[in-house]
Amino acid sequence: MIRITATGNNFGAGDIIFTAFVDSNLLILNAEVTFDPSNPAYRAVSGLEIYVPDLPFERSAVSGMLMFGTLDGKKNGTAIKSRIKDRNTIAVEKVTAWDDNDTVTLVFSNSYVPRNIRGPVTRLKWNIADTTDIAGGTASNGQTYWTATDEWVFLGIALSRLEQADAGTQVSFRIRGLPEMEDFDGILMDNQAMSPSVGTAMLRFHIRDNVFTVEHIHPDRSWHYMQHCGFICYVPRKRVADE
Amino acid sequence: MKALPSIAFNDFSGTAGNVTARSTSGGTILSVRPFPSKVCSQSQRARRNSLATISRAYKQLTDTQMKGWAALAEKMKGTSLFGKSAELTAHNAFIRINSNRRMLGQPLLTDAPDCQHCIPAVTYSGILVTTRRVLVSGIESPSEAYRLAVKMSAGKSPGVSSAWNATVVITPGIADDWGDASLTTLYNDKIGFLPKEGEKVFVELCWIDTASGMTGEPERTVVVCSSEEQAEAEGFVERKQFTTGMIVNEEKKVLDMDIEIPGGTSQMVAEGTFDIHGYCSYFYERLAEDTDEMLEGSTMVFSRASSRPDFKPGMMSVTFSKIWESGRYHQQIAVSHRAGGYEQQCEIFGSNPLMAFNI
Repeated sequence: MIRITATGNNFGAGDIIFTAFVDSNLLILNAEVTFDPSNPAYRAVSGLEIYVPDLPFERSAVSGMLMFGTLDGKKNGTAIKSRIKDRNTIAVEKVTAWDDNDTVTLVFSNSYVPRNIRGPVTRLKWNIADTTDIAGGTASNGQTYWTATDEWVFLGIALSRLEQADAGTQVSFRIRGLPEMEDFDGILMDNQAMSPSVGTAMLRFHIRDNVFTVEHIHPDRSWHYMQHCGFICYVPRKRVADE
Repeated sequence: MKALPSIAFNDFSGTAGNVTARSTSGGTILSVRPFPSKVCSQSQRARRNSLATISRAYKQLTDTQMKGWAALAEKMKGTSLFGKSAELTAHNAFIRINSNRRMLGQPLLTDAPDCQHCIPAVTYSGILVTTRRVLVSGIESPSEAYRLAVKMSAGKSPGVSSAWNATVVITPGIADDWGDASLTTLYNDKIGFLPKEGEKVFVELCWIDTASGMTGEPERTVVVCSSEEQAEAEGFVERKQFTTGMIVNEEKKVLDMDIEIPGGTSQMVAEGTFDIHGYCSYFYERLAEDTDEMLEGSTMVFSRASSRPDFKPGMMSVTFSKIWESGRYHQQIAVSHRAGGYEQQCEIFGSNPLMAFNI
């Protein structure tokens, strides 16, 4: 994993630094980019662009990532499209549904690949995520995927139910068999929206020493659970020397 | 009762109904009177209507606009358009440019376009014609405004040295798909059948500028049809791509789909728009024509409701497997909602690792 420092952007977001895995036909980016949607640069553009030093390929297929708006401390968001537009530009779809929020955050934890590379199909090992060492409530698996290379771990995890034991306790769990990962902050999507009913609620989760901890679930409500929630992310593997 | 002479049984000349009789020394010859067919194909009718509409539109132009077209026609003299080089009037230029635009679904141009810029030659790495496919690959598109126009002949025997007058428009303008222009269906639609192994196909390629309707100089080449096996032996590797046109889609749940596994990346690129009507939040599809090699693997990508302002996001799995049906295996593709929000009208997008258990 390397760091890529953006040379600029067209939506007034300030400095952007990605943690990246770069291969000749694969780019994985990790970063959260938060900005004020009332800023004039953002208001003036129809598509968001982040400018970076030379990328490994000219253009990519559409990649999927998350974005969310934060209003009164609550996060609501959706999935958006992104692509490598040219060797120096990462383009991100502009969705204006959260433009009246305090901030908008783009969540990069996604991969970019070109299309039309003729060659043998290669596959990675499909592992089922089995939650273990659950503390503070319930974390039940739904359909799950995880796989790993020497550099990164891919997690596509659907949880059928995530429930706090009480209002004040955060749920935490491990996933059996995962390799050691770097500490990581990710975003988990609920299956329902907070008011107003656009997108779905988004919650933050942390990975520390391979333990997943989810932020307080609906702290202002009388019930503290989510159903059919999940996350997709790429987490850097802990380097062998660091373990 | 009125008696009518029968030309079939009497020795005389004349016409009765559609039959004409004439007497010769050898007897009477009967022939059916030829009638010119007034039936024209749908495409002929559309083309004739289109040309008539364009021609009428020319008469509505202002004097200044007509002068502009006259100036363009003057510049276009000697410039070949789709292989035709001719002296042009303003009216000719107006019709030619606008009929090109019509074929591309563009509105009529009333002001003559600027033809100062030249349209580059087509750069591509190869044209593959086999008994199963017609493919132009490695196309380097100079601009998003350009489309590739292609004329081709039917398969000709190896002894034919020229069939440039027998080429027909396979496509008036196609956008390349990551450097590829797959022309198999279009060729079948226009010519009616694919060439046989060893036959020659005469090919003309040029760019058409969608903004102006101008075309570049056509590139001419002759390709010999080979077998699929020969193409593979010579290094052709099939692109691992699954599109809407390849699936049965009987229930029309797939509005649009383009899934690809780029070689060597361990990733599946999935883009699709669906209407998963019914009670389930998943569907299975089968390839209409199975390939020899079945793909098995799965991934999870983001999804999103198509309706606005909903934007409800979710996660969907995309799984390739083989199923046994009617005595043989078929390639199956399954798309299933797994987490987050869900609406029947939804889309998926993204690229994530292609995974399988038996690795």
